[in-house]
Amino acid sequence: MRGLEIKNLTVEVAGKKVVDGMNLGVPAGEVHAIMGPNGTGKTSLSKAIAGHPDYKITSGEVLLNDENIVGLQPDEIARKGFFLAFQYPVSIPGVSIANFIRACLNARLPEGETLNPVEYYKKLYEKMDELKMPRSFTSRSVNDGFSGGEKKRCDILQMLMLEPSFAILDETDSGLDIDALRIVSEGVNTARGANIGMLLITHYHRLLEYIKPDKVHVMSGGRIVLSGGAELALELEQKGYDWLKDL
Amino acid sequence: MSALLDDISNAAKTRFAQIPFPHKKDEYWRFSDLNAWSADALFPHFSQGVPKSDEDAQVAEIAKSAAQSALAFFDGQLVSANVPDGVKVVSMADGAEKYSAEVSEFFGAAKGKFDTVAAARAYNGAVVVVADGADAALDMAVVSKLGLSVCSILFLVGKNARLRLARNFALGGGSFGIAMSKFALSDGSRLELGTHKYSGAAAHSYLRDDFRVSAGVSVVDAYAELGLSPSRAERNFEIVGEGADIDARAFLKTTGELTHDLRTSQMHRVGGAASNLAVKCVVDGNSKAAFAGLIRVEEGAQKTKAYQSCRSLSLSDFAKTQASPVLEIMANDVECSHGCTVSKPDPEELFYMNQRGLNTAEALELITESFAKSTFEKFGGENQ
Amino acid sequence: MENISDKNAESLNLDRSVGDFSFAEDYAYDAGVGLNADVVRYISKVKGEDPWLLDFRLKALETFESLEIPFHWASEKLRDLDFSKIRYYLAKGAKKRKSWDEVPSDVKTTFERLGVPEQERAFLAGVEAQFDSESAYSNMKAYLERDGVIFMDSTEGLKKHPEIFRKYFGKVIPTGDNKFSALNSAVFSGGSFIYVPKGVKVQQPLQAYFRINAESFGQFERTLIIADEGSELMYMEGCTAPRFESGTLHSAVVELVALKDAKIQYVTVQNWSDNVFNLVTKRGMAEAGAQIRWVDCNIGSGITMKYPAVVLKGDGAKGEVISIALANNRQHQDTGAKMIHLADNTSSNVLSKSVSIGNGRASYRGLVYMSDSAKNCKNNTECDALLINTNSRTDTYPAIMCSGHNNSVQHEASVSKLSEEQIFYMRQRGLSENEAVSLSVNGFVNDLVKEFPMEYSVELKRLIELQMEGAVG
Repeated sequence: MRGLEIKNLTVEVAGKKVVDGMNLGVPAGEVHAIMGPNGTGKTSLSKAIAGHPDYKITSGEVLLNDENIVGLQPDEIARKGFFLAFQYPVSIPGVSIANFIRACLNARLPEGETLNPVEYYKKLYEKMDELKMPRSFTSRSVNDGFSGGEKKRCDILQMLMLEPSFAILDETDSGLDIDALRIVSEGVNTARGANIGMLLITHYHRLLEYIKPDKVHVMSGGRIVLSGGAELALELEQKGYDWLKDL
Repeated sequence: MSALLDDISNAAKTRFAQIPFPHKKDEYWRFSDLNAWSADALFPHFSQGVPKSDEDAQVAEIAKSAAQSALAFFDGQLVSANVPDGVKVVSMADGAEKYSAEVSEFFGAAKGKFDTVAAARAYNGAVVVVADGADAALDMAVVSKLGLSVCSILFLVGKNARLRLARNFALGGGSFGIAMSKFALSDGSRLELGTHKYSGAAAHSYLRDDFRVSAGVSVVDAYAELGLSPSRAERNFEIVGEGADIDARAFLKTTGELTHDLRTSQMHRVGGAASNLAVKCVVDGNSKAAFAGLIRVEEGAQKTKAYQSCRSLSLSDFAKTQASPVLEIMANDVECSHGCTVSKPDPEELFYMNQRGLNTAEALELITESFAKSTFEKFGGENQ
Repeated sequence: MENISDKNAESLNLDRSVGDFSFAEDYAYDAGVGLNADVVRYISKVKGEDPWLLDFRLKALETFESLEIPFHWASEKLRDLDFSKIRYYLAKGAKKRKSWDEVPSDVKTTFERLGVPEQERAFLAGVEAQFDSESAYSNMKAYLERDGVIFMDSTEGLKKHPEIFRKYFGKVIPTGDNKFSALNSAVFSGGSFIYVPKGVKVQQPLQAYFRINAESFGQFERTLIIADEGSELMYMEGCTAPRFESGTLHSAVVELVALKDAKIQYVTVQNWSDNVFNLVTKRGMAEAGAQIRWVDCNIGSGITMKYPAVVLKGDGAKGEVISIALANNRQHQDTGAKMIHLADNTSSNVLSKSVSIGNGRASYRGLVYMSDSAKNCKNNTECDALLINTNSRTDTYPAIMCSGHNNSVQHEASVSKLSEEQIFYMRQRGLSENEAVSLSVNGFVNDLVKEFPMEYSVELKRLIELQMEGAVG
């Protein structure tokens, strides 16, 4: 299947099980959301899929477009088309956004080929306009001194430029005011299409008002405990997460 | 008599003759007032012939009240020991018998010109033992009156023990006081140390404190140098156990033609420990404060946190501050920084005080006082 | 970015890819191995110098012999230096030429990857003795002559302009300043002599690069730059390409004199091969209102000891040192700055960043002096060190000596390592670990790299990338 398949996945951090026998499939062309209380393993799941060395996959498989990516280096996974929008994007002082994204795109080209700078900037400016980012952002260092909202926009800009085949957006709505949330959501919605699968990780229903998911999953205790349509998000908003304990 | 102390003393005497007096090319004495530490200046002391020229009132007062201290040393002789439970004081000769390894190591560290004098007079002083798990508070006075007055004290602090110690050093009458101490801190122990040093104008003061810091030890150290004569203080923190935490503060005040010289080291032999040293100086008149501080993180001592700062407030155009805060870092996963500033009182602050009716001298006094106090602020909940 | 550097070269009317190579006549002047008064006499004679200069050299030799290497603070590595095995003078043409095959393969690869033009590679590797870019240089020369700017080899300068040269020569850095300045004073040859007349603002940077010949890039070059009242200039020396050098000791002396309200910027990129001891004395004297700025990047050499200094002699003078050092395996970059405040209202700024890779060691050694006769002086010093590997080393040895009225000194230093989260973030975007590390390191030094002229800064970034290869993983 094109898209992301998580099969019986178990993840440990510092010897502690944080994802426990999880199964989930998100086909290309669809947007799914994972909701759930804090500390239930949502962020651990995304970091583990991305190949973070602190998050050890002890069993199970993660298939990206039918290929198992468990055990690959983080950059290999990224170049295979996986993108993670971080909950807390780090800053990279001294490295401008324009240079950084260009380096990332060049890393995807075959040895010896480089980007056409004119086309690159044309596309970059286009995407920045979509995200209502001023041009001056290109020369600012990645996430350095950015507000929470600017960091998230910067991450979404990278997603739009790198055109992954699958993206996990980890708490992209956190730290955003309502205007920024709308802008970011619009960016995500334009990226939506048959060639990309997306998994939104969120604690609140708010984001899902702007980005309508095809399916909603509830994560608890390191696995999916409940799946449903978009209406499930609303139900969770009203009832909270406590009742899930009985499931 | 102790064969060990005799050996230590004889070896030190031989060494003393071989070690030159501090000289210009000796990095270890860079910035010091070398005249004050020259053979010419100190010869009368070594020949025990310094007249008791200036009977300093403040020294006399400290000496008088010293007798009420839990521990009192006059020219290296223990004159009173009213120590609480869990604390034992023995003469250096007895200590050399019972704790021979510790005593040899203590004096073995004396490699410089003046700590070697302490080793040469190895009988002067005592060994203070704090039992495992004890919680003891005591005050201590060290009074120097002789031309050459030597006192060495070795503190052996047991596992998980807590020692709160207030030290008062008083040097008078043209005395050259040499004091060497070591705090051997066993695993899990805690030392809260406050040191006040005062000397009359004709004295010379050399003080060395070594801290051997084992696993889980915490040290809170407040040091104030307020003497009127040239001083040299060396404070060496050697961290050999993980989880240790050191918070050390020092304050120096120099006036007249004086130089106070402070040299510190924070040696991180193992990782996972933290040390923070903050020095403040107020310099006035034609005087000089000299500070040399070393942070050294040995290879493999990862997860070290070590900080150091030196802030000097200069009240006169001719007062000097000389500082050399050194970092030597051989491990990459560490947090280390140092900062050093030399500045004048803020003219806006002075103006503000003037406007409120204080004259400049009064305002400066107030600024100095608050600057001095700020040295010892926020001491992990303890007030000095 | 690449385009901009090309543009810069264009505006200077220089095409680096065209180098008109020629061999100098074969002067077989060789002073032999080792150092004594005869060697010094020989050098002076070969250069046809006046008697006063021979005297100067002989006195310097005596001074050199009387001084010790200051081992109480200097690197122990200097113990490997054997003065009796060094060749102190080799005139152009006499230099034994190597064949291209003898050039180490890592040097060749670096040339290739930096995109150094074919012809320059041969010179830089020591295969060619001289790189004559007179044609490229002639345009600039005409322009300089129009304004009365003197820019020539220091040997030539001593002969043609003794009246200016002698007045300042050895005045900023006295012979006996240190053992290596004494050595240079005894055996110097080559280097640049520049005089900028009153009020002349030289628009384009003057580059030693365009005047490459065996001497000006020699082991014991002597540079003297005088900027007369109100004048301005920027001088650049060195180049980013590695210089493979068979001589193991490089000991230059550079003296700058900025008269009232003059501005001098001196930019250095040092990338000697790692068998070289690079022991350089650089000092500028700034008169009232003058500004001297050292912009310094050290990448090569086995050991570098270099502490560019500014003597702030006149009211309101300004001094600045911008320093980048990269210490890779087995290298020791011992660099820093000295700011000597002797006059009122003088200010100085030192920004230093170092990167230690493998068992490389980067040390900052600084001195800030404020005399008690000076008022309202300010110094700010910031040193940041980045340690890449677990066995990398950094040191900071500042000395602060401050007195006087309303003077203030501020020194801050910090040490950091690569942020694992930052590297992971970049790898998640598809960069390899090496790419991520070199980007991160470039980011760390970026604010200082920006202080270099554009064409240098682009090359510097590339060079840092090369240095970072294989540093991790």
